[in-house]
Amino acid sequence: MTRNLLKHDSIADFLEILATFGELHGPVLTDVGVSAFRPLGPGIDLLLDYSRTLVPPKKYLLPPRDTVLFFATDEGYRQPAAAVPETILVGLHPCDLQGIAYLDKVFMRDRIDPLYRARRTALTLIGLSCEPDEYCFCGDLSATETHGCDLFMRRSPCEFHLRSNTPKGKAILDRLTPILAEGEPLPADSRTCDMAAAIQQASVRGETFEKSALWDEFAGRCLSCGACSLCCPTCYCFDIREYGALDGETTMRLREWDNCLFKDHGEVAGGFNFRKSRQERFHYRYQHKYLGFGPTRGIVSCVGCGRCRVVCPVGIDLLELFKESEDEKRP
Amino acid sequence: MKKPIIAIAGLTACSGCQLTLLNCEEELPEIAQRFIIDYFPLGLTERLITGPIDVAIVEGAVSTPSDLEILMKLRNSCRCLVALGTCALWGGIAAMKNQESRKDLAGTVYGSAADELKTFNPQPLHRFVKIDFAITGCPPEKGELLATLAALLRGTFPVFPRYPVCSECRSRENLCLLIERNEMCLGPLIQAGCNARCPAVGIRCEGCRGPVTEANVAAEMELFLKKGFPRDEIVSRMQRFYPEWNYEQRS
Amino acid sequence: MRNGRDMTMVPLPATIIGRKELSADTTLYRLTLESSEKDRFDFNPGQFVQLSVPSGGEVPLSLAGPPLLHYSFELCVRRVGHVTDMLHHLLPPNRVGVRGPFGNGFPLSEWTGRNILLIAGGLGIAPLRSLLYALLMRRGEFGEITLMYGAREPSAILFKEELAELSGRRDMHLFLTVDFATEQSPGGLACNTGLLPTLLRGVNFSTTGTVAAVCGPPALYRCLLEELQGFGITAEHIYLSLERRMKCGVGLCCHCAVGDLFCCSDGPVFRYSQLKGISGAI
Repeated sequence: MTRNLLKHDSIADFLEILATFGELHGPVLTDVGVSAFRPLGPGIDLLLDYSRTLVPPKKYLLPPRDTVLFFATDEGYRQPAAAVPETILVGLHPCDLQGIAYLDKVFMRDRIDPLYRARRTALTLIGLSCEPDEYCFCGDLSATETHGCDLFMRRSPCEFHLRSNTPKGKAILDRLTPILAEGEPLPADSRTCDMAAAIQQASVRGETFEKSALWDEFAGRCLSCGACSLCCPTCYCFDIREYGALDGETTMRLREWDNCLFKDHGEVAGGFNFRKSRQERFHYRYQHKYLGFGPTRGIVSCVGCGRCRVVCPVGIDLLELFKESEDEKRP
Repeated sequence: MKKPIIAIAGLTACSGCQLTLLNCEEELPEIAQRFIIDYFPLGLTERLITGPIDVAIVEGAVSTPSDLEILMKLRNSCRCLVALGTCALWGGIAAMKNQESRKDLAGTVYGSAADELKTFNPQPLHRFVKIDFAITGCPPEKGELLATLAALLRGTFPVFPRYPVCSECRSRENLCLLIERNEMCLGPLIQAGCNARCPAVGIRCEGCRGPVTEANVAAEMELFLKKGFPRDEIVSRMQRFYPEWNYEQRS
Repeated sequence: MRNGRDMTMVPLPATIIGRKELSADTTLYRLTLESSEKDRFDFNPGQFVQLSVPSGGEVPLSLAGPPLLHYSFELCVRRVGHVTDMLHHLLPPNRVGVRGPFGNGFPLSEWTGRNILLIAGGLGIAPLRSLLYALLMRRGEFGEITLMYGAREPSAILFKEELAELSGRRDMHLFLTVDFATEQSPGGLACNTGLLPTLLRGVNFSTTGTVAAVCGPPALYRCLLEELQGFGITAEHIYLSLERRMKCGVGLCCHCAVGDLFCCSDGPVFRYSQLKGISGAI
């Protein structure tokens, strides 16, 4: 028996204690009716029962538009001073935790991106179990509760079962002790999803669905609005642009979310485009999501959160590729 | 650094684009210090195009012989011509009814006085002269105008992203008016840069910045039709700022 | 961390110390890093740098000079976009920014004892010039060395004076060709007329134990690779330097993938055998 039970009616106390560790952020319903990660505070309700936010928590690590370098004639290029406040992100679903774990691999394992690392180090992640809706296909991810989060909250009818995974999480759990009740650790949650399994198998066999008619169909409908990757927890392609100031001396270099379905994505100076058609760009997206590039080769980066299916104005769903192939296998 | 000599002119338009420049109150002293403003009828008493100009920034569509004369004069005396705003780049509001008879339209507004008017269908600048750069928008965004001026100081033009309004709209975590409200939002077809100014306050994108690269017009049209909007209503909405959509275009 | 400084994320200041116009739109720059400790700048032929022109941005450029100039390096730049346009207005001792070197480069140490065929189309001469000088610096380690270089027209041939000098060397062969000729021998150089595959078929070069290094526009690869294999040079021994949109240079921005390979960090030099079967690679 350990003190690990947080009663539903102790949430306010829980948040108050969390706020002593840093700036507290979590999913809320914005005034326009969108679920979004926002700063929490008095009078702002934390969503504990939500399906998904529109934009995933990657925005805390890779803001949509980010100044990555300054230039001044006398001092050359320099990185901005990274003064990142300690931030506690509470209420992350396992898919979003998985998304962050993937980004960690990209930006902190093979290459270290100093801005990403500074932000990641200042971030404390508190996970929250969830119930899948019709858009989710996260499979057994949800059972693997940890995925690098510091503290995980598993919901049961009257309480949350808390479990710390890191020293940071342990420190928080210790501080929470006064408001927790004693309870048994829950047995591991298990969940299966045929789609997640099908994706995994397709990735292992290096499936590219080269012959599928769906590519043309997707390309004909796609509005190139960018929503699928902007809202994807693991899409991190970025563009870099530089703008001088009116003083004629200083300059800012920006890094901004990019999208492989945009025309410029494969275009080089002079106008030659290595992915001229939308079909080619869809293949590229598929390749990155399900087969991986370079150091992430072989890693499925799709975490099954379902955002791309929810946000596409014309209902494009890459899962149809996998479904089509499953259907073919059946007699 | 040599001070660039600039000219700022307005053709058939509301002067709103030029006002965007005048509204950069904080930056105006710096602009006045770093550029030689040779011609700017809206802001200067002196109204003569005097000599070689580095950059001419032109607002508005071309719809009268005198518009054309000013445009030609500027093109002949400048190194770079910048189209400022949607009218100069795409025709804009003034060109909305270009598929109807100019004579009838003039008659409706001016009655018998219409016969004296020398006017033709409003056209974007590129129908008459080569343009070197364009800042779109009705009116253009201050930030893009200032970035352009800053780049001109260094002898270049800035690179603006070529993605649609939806991209900025999603990044801002707005409610999708197209999906969630079934509104006739033109976001997917329209050049970003406004930071989704309208959808951010719950107003559908009216398309004031003109078409984005590779707009999938046909798919958006199908989507609107499927949502139950009549075709003529869709067309009339889309033509408000750009009369020349190709409704079959997919890429 | 290379050359004593971390140049992967933040461009280091570099000074233009030499500038030579090679054709109407192409210029050779020599740059040196300006830092108190006199940074060495060593690289492998085939590697590239990201060159920054403040307020314009960054462009990936092949290193075009001999790899061991130590404190300086050369870039061959065609004016095609807004950054290279700004660069063309710069003169010594103007300053720019440099990150890199990035990418793998050509694996010279695996080529010991082999005959080497270099085929450059247009601006593709830039990395192959670097490679050629590296090979000539270690001349004794390799067999026959042949450079075939094709340009659109005589005025587009880059490095004419150097080519004239190289054509006089007895330890290598040089063949030039232009697509369209207006004069018999441009700048006194012996030159064929026709495309590179035609040149390849028309001249003698060793085809046994030969490795080929090819760099040029995508159209060149499409017509040349079959020819080379026809001469018995296997896909394993054909090395291609690819061009892609590369914004970061370190395998992060994800614009340059070819199949599951990043052009910037797994390449830009690939064996043809690595690329066969990847749709869109060539």
